[in-house]
Amino acid sequence: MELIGTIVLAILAILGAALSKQLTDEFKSWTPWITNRLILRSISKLPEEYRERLEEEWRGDVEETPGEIGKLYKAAGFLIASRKIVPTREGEKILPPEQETSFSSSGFLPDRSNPGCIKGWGVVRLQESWHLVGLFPSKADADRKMQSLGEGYGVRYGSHRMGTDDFI
Amino acid sequence: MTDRDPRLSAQTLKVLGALMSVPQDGLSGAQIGRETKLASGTLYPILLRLEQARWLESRWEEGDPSVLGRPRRRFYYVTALGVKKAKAAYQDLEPAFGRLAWS
Repeated sequence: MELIGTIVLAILAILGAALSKQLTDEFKSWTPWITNRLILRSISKLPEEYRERLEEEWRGDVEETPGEIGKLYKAAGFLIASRKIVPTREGEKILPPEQETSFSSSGFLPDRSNPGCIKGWGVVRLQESWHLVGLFPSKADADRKMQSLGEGYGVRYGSHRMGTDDFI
Repeated sequence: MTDRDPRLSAQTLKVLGALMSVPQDGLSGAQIGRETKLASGTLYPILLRLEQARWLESRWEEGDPSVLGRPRRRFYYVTALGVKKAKAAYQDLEPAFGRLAWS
């Protein structure tokens, strides 16, 4: 009786080891697919403006992460991150200042003397080369923007030609 | 601190601390994650909030992904505004946490 029990246990141990290896192989072959699906799902939840950038950035991050479980954990984290990332507020696009022209045509008064222009409070870079950073319907919003940029910026009221960075 | 400044949680301060220790070189998201031990679900929302507030800037690494053989990394740098704001925040916290090496 004891011998039969030992044999059954040995068979179960062999089957368990084989099954365990099989499961490990399955897991290894499925994790890249699951990781990719998690990244794609995360990207689809992001605000439009971030999708292209974060897809490349997150794939790079996963690439740098060692181990299949580590990659999976990281990709699962992206799903959480994507729910916390909110669109940039109006006038706060995250582009370098020299490329930035963040304007909204809502809430502004038309400049009757200059067709195609609107009046508003402009935040301008005063030092180095002059640059219009953004246009705001209220001085309070423009002041807040100026303060967030630090020194070297000022607020001016003027007329802005839409689609350009002209501001007079 | 203005109403548009990011909320300064302990995790946010960790991220700023990691970036301020290498102000010129910048760090990729993965490197910041390793330095701060923050999970990606916490780290990236913080990075994007700080970038929106202009405390950080980010740039793609040089090179073509097809030549590099992997996706490009995006490196984060702390801006002068970020340094100023972070130092002010740390000074406020100094009585509780003691003097910091880089302040």
